Amino acid sequence: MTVILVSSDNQDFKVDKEVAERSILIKNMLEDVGESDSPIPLPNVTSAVLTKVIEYCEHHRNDPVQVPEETDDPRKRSNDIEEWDMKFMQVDQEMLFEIILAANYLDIKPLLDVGCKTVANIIKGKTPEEIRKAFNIVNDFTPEEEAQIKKENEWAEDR
Amino acid sequence: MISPTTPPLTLLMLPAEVFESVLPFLSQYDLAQCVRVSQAWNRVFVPHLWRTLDIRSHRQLKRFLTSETQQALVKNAKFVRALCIIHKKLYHQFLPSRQTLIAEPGVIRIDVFAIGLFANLRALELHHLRHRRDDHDLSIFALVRQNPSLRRLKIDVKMDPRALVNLVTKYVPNLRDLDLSVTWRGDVKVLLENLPEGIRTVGLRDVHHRTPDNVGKATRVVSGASSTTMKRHHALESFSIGGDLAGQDEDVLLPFLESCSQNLKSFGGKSSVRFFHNARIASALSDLGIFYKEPSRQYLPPDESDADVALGISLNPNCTSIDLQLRLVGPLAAAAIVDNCERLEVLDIMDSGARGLLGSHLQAILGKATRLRRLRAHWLLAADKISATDILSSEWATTSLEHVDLKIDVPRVDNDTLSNNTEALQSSHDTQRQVLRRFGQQTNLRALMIGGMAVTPATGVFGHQRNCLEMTLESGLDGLVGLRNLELLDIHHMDHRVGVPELEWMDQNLLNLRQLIASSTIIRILRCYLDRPHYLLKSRTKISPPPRAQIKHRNLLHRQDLSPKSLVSKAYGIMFTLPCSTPISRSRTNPSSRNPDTRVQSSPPSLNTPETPTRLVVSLANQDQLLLRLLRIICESMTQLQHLRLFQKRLIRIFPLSEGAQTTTTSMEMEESHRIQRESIPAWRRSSTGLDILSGMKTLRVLEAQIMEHPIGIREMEVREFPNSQSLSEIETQTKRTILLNDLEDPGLDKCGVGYRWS
Repeated sequence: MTVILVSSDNQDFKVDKEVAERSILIKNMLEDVGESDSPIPLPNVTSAVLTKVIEYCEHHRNDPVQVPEETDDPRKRSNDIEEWDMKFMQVDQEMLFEIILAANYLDIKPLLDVGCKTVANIIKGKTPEEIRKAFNIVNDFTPEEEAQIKKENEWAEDR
Repeated sequence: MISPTTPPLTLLMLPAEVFESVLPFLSQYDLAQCVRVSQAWNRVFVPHLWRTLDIRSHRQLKRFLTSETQQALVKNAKFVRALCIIHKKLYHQFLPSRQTLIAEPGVIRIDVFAIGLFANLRALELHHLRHRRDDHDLSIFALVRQNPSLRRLKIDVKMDPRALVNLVTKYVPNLRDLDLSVTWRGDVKVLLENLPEGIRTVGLRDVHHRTPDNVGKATRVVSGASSTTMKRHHALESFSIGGDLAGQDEDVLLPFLESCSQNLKSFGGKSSVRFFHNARIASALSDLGIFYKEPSRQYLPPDESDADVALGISLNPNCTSIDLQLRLVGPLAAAAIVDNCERLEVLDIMDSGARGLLGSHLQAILGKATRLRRLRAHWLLAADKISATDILSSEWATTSLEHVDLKIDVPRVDNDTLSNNTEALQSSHDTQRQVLRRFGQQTNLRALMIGGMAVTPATGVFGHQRNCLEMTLESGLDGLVGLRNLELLDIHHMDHRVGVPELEWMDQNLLNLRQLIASSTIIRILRCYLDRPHYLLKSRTKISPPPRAQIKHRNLLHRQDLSPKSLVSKAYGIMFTLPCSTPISRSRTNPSSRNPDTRVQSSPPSLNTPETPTRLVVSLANQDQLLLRLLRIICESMTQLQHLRLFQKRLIRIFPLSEGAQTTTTSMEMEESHRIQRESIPAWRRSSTGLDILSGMKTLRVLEAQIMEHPIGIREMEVREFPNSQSLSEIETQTKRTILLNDLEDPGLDKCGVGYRWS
């Protein structure tokens, strides 16, 4: 059985129900509506992003449903990303954030996690200057402010 | 909705909830970099950076105590959710300061605490302080009171027992996790009954119960209050307790357990096993669905009596795993295990030593425990036999055995003298076949160890188990054909009859077999045997390297060892393929050699390739069947062989004397042994002798056979002495006497074996 998804720019995407149901939002929608051929509008997702999201869902269509584990301890969380996902996430930053947004909106937890891990990995191990470069941010601190902030927070730099 | 006109999306533009899901993947170090990126990033990241304040190292402490950081602390303390205090200096700084307003003699003292830095704490950890100071108690009190949303509290600092119990029972209404790591003496009953209702985990590492009479007033007041309003602890999931309840286990624990619900999943702690030995507590626990899961050697006191162990087991019939030292299992405990083994999945009794558990108990367990997966009782045979007939006496309840490690005793015809008692032999083989078939039905088996070292009852000598399974095809090894999952098979100490056909069978049928533990002889045979290209093992599956610990086993052969390449380099001991000229010239230069063999000398050197060796040395342990098989292999595969030297203790078995053999002996004694030996060769063995086999080899010119125990009678026999020359190969120097057999191609050979001379 297939489902038709409509992106914000009115493009139709025909996908298997099983693939579409990787999105909890769509899954719940389909359950609520029941058997219906009517297309599902996704006004928050552009066709470019939806293409990527569907690609992800296609690849992971047979994954077991993740049980959300409660890890309060951030140190326990791993930053490891599967190889395929890593390649999948090699996109420009705007697309990366859009995918994260879409994953959040569509409620696709594994995709959201992969997106967040990718962002975190861009930040990890970098100096402030490198982070600025990576995210194209202008340093708007005065040298004095910068020194002050460094001093204030230096205690946290011990790993 | 995102339209092309919206500015490009950045990290900080993500909605807060999305942004925050990135944070768990960042370390505090990363966050400390982020706050330095830009004003905007600083605003966003500072609250997250300060969320956890956990100063551990001295370097961190030094950096934290700078004036800049201290100013920042005042600014940012409101963000702190998790506070961990370890250093003494920080106690002074983090705890609210106290001012005593009125402190005159006879007047009530009023302490006022300044509003502390922290008011939004969710988690607080107070770590070890060397010196106990009273004012800390009150300051800690104040800190906790100022943080009503505390969910997690870990106290590893000495406090007044009454203060502590009040703190925990009154001022942390939202507490979920309590970890009391410090030694605490007080009324445990009151502490437990008054824990906040939302509590989920409780860890009391070392509590010592004091009845209200022994402790001060304050506790009694609390106690009085508790009797009117009984708290419920339905959210409690995990409880652990260590220490000493002063013999009032029931009084302390029963009311508390009554206040808990089935949400309680874990009940443990140091020496908590004790509570399972108490019938009322054990029953209260089982009402909550908590059973004594693992009576484990780690938790039982070493001096636990047999009766206590038995009680512990019988009170907890739902336990799924028993892991004990044999020493702990007396007759009572053994009976208790049998009575309560229906749900048992793991029975692991591995220590040596003899006490109560007997083979008959194991049989009963096999008959009852339907879920048994793992059965280990390797040393049991030292105390009592697990006999094959008993094991076969009833059906086994389980079909899910995965790991078996015990020794089975089978009736065996004395394997030192080859008895012609075919009936006994047959019956022994039948029994063994049935045992192996039983194991063959356990298709989940992954590790099988059913033999080993044992004390021989007659002699009291600890050594090879004399009455082990033979593990030969004759005795039903093929009963294991269903064990497709078998990864480890241990035939060490039980392999003295296992030969090439068995190994070949294992290779072809036990497809997942990765490790074969066997004596060095078998390993050598395997290596040698498999070295023949003719019989090469087909490499099948990719094998992952075994755990390192197992590699150390000196007799362990891993399947990856079986590649032709490694075998060629490892083949030793049993067969040497040597260029024919070298040894022959040696024997010729031997001054004591009475009759240098000229025919061998003339053998064409062109045949000296490894594929068609012309000279072969074979040395085997007492494995006649094996040697026969090996001779067949040699015969079939080494068509150019001219010179064969055999080293074996009892060559007489495979080179028996023909019926009409005439013998000349040097002593009557020798003749006697000769006669016995001849009679002891059973008909089924006599049908195929080494000479029968070797007579098929048309090129063979020299057969050298080492004699150690019995002479062999062969026509034109020649005795030579090998000198202790260093130039000879190792095996040759070990040889004292060698019998040279010539003219194997002689058609009259099968009638040979008429005389011998003993030097």
